[in-house]
Amino acid sequence: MRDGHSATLRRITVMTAAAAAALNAVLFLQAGVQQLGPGDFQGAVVSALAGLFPGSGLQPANHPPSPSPPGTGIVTTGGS
Amino acid sequence: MTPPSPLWFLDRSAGEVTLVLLTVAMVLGIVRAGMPAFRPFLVEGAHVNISLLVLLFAALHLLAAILDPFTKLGLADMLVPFVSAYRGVWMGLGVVSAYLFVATILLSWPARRLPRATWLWVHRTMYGAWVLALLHSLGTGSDVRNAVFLLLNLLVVAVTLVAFLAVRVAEGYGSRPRWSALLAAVGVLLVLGIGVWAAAGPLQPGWARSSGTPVNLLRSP
Repeated sequence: MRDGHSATLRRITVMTAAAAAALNAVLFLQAGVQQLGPGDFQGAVVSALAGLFPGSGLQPANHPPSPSPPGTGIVTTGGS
Repeated sequence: MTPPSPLWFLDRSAGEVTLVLLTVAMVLGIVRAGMPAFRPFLVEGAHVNISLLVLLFAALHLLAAILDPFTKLGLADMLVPFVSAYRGVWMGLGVVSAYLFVATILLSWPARRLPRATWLWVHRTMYGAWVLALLHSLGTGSDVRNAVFLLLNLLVVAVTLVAFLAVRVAEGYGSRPRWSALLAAVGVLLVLGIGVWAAAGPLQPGWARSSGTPVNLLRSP
């Protein structure tokens, strides 16, 4: 009887912890996107991760774009 | 000026989750006290385990605040009430609430360390700690006008008030009707008072400035 209750209690605890972590993620995204906008918030997260894991290949968002190689620029033409 | 870092948003989200979990733990405590015959093992076990989850998210809330380079909060801001340069009064209420919560946990878990009557009164300070945590959330929280955060705050207040009136007050009404009526009136007036204050203060534009946000942070995006 007590074992059954223990299993139920464990399930309740794990589910509550998972729900709290999910709510934390939703609120984190909500607050960040609302204040910075989706692009800048994504950039801030990527920059922070790039700072934490320098070898990961993540490009900090506030780096200036790399110059394109010569001859590959987009050419726009006038109307015909 | 440095733009807000992701840690600043993690601090805010973990703070709100801490308040939500604190509410769940408190409601379970109310049910345990007011309805002692109702699944005592499960209710008490969940009350204890979720209280420990509160500690976990509160620690995340504090850690993110200390590591965040945006607001430049330090250990002193977290440990000493009312000294922070960032919304000092409202930050201080959160610190006091945390001390009450930690004291209650230390005196209750893993074994009760005080005579029952004393322990009971220490435990009852959690009503005050919850109110302080709510005021801290509304006063310090940068997201008080964010619809999701606002909805969650309304929800935690409604759930707590209903549990308090329907379980705690109702349970004592038979034996002490005047005392119970007084408790109910205090609970309802407190919630109304917080609602009026929130509508006139934190929910108004300009609250960031009047609540004591340092000028250099007011220009943030």
